Amino acid sequence: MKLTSRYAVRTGSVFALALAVALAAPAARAADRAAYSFEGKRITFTQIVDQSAGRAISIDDPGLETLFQMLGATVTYQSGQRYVLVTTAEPVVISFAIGDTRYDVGPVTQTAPLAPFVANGHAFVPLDELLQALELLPKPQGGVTVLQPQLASLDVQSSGGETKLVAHGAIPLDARISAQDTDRVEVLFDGVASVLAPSRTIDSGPVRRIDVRTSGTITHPATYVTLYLAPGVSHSAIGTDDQRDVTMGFDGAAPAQPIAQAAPPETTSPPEAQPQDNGQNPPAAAPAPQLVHVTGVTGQQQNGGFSVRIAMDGPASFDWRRLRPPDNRWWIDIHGARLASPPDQPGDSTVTDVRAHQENADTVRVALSLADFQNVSVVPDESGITVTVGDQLAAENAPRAGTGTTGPNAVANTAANSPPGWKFGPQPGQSNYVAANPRLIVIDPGHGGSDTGAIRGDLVEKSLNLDMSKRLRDILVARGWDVIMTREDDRDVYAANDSAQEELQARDDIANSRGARLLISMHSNSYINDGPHGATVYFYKPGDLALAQDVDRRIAAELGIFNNGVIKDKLYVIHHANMPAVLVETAFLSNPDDRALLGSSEWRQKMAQAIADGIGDYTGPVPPATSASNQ
Amino acid sequence: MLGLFDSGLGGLTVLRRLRDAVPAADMLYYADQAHVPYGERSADDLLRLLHHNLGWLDARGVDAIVMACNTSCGVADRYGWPPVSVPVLDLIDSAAQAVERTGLLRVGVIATTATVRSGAYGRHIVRRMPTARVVEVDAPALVPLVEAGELHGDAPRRAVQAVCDLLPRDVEAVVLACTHYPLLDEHFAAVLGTGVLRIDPAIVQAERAAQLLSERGRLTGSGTLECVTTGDLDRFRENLGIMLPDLLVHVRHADAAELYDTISNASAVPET
Amino acid sequence: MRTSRAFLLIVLLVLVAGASWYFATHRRSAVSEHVTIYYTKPDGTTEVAWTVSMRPQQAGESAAEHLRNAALYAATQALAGPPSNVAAIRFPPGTHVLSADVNESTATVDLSKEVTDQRSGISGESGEFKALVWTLTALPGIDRVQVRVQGQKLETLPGGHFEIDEPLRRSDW
Repeated sequence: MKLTSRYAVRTGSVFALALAVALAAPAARAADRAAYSFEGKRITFTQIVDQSAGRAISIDDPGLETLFQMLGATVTYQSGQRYVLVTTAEPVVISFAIGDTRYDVGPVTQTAPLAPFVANGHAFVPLDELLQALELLPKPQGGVTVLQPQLASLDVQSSGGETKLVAHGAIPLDARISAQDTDRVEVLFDGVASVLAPSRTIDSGPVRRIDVRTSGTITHPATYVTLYLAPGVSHSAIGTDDQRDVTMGFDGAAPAQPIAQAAPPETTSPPEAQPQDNGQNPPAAAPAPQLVHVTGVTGQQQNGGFSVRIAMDGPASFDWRRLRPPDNRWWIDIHGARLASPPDQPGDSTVTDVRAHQENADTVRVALSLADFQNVSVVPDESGITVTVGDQLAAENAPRAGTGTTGPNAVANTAANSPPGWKFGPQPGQSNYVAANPRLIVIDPGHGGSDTGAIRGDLVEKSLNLDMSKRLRDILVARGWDVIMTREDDRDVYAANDSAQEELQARDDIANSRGARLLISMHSNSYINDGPHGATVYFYKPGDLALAQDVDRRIAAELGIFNNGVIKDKLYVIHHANMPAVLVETAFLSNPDDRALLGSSEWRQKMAQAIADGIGDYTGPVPPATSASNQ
Repeated sequence: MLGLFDSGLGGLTVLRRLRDAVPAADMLYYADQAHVPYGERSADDLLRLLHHNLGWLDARGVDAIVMACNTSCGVADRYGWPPVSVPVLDLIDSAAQAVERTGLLRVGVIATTATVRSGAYGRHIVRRMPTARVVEVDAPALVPLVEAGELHGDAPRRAVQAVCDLLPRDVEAVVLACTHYPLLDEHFAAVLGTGVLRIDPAIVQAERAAQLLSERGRLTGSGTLECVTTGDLDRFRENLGIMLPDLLVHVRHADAAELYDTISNASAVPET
Repeated sequence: MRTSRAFLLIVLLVLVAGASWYFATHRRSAVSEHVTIYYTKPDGTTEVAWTVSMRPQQAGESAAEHLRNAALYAATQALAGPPSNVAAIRFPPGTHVLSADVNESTATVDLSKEVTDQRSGISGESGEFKALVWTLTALPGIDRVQVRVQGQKLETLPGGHFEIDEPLRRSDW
């Protein structure tokens, strides 16, 4: 029955058509093409199959490709694979599987009347379900089916004492305030229709009722939303967040609490919705410590490795450590927890034993004895932690400590290998690089010439980098260092419009060929929005870490700028430098406060000073000049 | 006066909760048993029935319509609500609120085929709890069992077992997303066990109805319950006696003008 | 008589064991299993895990095929990122997975050209790929990720010169 696609029809033979229809009837009938329209554009679907259960469309249909393009959606499908995946601009992943009527729209699993199938090498998926997931409502109008974009959701969200209206639609929303009064505000969403409930009352908070009314025509709909506000509530202007949602904030009135209601659970606020406040807010109130229980510690062999599942009845923070070979002990401490499971578990050849015990009043420790320095992954989730010990050896510099939390917003972090209490071997922060020229520091002003770096307003990254590099050079020279800069003016180091690799390698070559003591690459950061801010010191090689930490400490102490700390990152210029090297992202051009700092020559001087001081902390006194080190 | 409708007996579970929450309120219940079950009907059919049922209640001068049919809410959520002059309390929104209150994030939804197709439950729950995961499972076999009065014994137990087997193993809460299903709760309790929370959306729905009435100062009334059925009057009376034995309910048959009869039962779309 | 009774008992025991094995193993693959997806918070370093449903291995799908399907699925989810109201570092709009394959614990992910349209600097590039690498290496059997762009290996990305020529592992961060 899946043969009845346009391919059968396109043979051009009436006989083939008749045969195809006869073979398929009554389950399916051939539909050569179907006329749709979206946002005024005519879209013809040519690769469709009508079955009694519904219409299926080829994921390769040119009309569908046009529609996806207009919506900003993308498709992932490889012939022979199981999944047909559509990612919307929202983003939501719509996941169909060949032969399976179940499909997922984001986190929701639903059932379609027909299963996706493959015919003539093309994957077909149920069209109505696909359109629904794209928030498009088909409306027939004179032989054409208009795909009407919907105002898909309209919600009043409260978190952290703030209440806002959040709306999103099939397309980026065009919203404006169309009328307002003391107790209400009407918002016009132009270009979208809505099937949201015409009137919704809200139990508490600044917005008491939302009325929704759609008007306009099928091809040009408009939706009016009236928000009835509690007395004394004011509203903000309409805004748009990063992800094309339309928002409006409210404040002014103490929210009424008309009915006894369970305290809203933690989970109602989206995880980490306030990016600027990471770790800055003290906990609202110190709740009585409530211990979670470690309800099970179970080990099992898995794909040649061994996995240990630590089950818990509530969220908890943890940290883990491992020792360096030949001592292959690995342990994890779960804080605010009591052990409620048998303490010991049998191991196997990769993990020789698994022990759990109550380390102190509120810490449970689970310790593993590994056969070797194997790869260990620590994956927290809502209800516990899965520790997987692989059968492959970990890299020598693999992280040996990490932290995290379980619960709905489970987080895992690995820490850069750091020296406290280090007992085995050389300290990881010390490099065994011996500088041929221990008095020489190379400064690399990032970008230059044809490569401007980031530009925001009248500030250009390459010029800022050069300015701060020169200031740094002057301070270092005054202290007795020899300094070479990879560029002293506005130019490409290798050649104009060269490749990134050529350009970056040329900078490393300058430092490597001279056997410099250190390489400092100066940059200014940027991001797609104005959120991220502050100074960051990047390192990659183990030998870079101590330098990065010293420079970062001075920046934090001497400058009034947010400190993002020391971050390991595989960046070409520091990776391919033989000597300890760091890349300093001084501040974000994309953040208004940081931009003001970067615009100040006084601040740039202080930044250069702080970096020079950090270098001094790392190197100690400048080595005496010898004939060998003079250039 | 509150207005309710359902395809049959299921909405009586909402009536029961309403009665507990607002004992004094008068209620009018429209049981469209001529078209039961709704769950296997096409969206077009369901929209026409919804339009008729809401209009019928609206015309009777109710203060608010308390949705007691999930299937109708689901189809309205996908294709739009017909305009009515009084507030309509959406059952799916109440269910999502009930799930949100539990804070549980691995949610199963058991519903009729049409409700599952609408995807409304998943949308509402995830909107309130962005980190939730929802699996919707359709259970076409259950409503006919309830309407046939088969609430106890092996047949409903097997049917409930078959549906629950489709849920993921780690589900923490299950929404009984058709008002017929709470009548089979003994089986859900036995099959799902104590580790899984069962959620009857009617509880929050009744709470919201009570609040709506109190806000509008319409909490008073004589507690009159009136039911109108489009199906077999005697059987409806008999089932009422079993389900709401403690309540005095006036029952009558819908007259020809009140019955929406342009859809025959034969037009229900068969499952493929 | 006694032997036949013992025989019956054994048959019964085998049946019970077989049935419990059947239910234990078959119930397992009822609907879905889960896969852990990571995103990077706007601080550029912190990984946050969340889980999405994934279809279990089905009859006729070998373990290798299942892993390959899972890699494609997980990579697509990682590129899409968490719901829009969650603040996260995200790949440039339109970036999608063209293909994914797994060879001896290395996953090769081919990304569309939009990935080079970087406007988010070092922290953006690093955070994007950290999330992708953590997601794929959370799948048992994958411990490194080779990135390609439109089928080609690239040396670095243009925004912050993040290196993607060699397979990336978790220890690169």
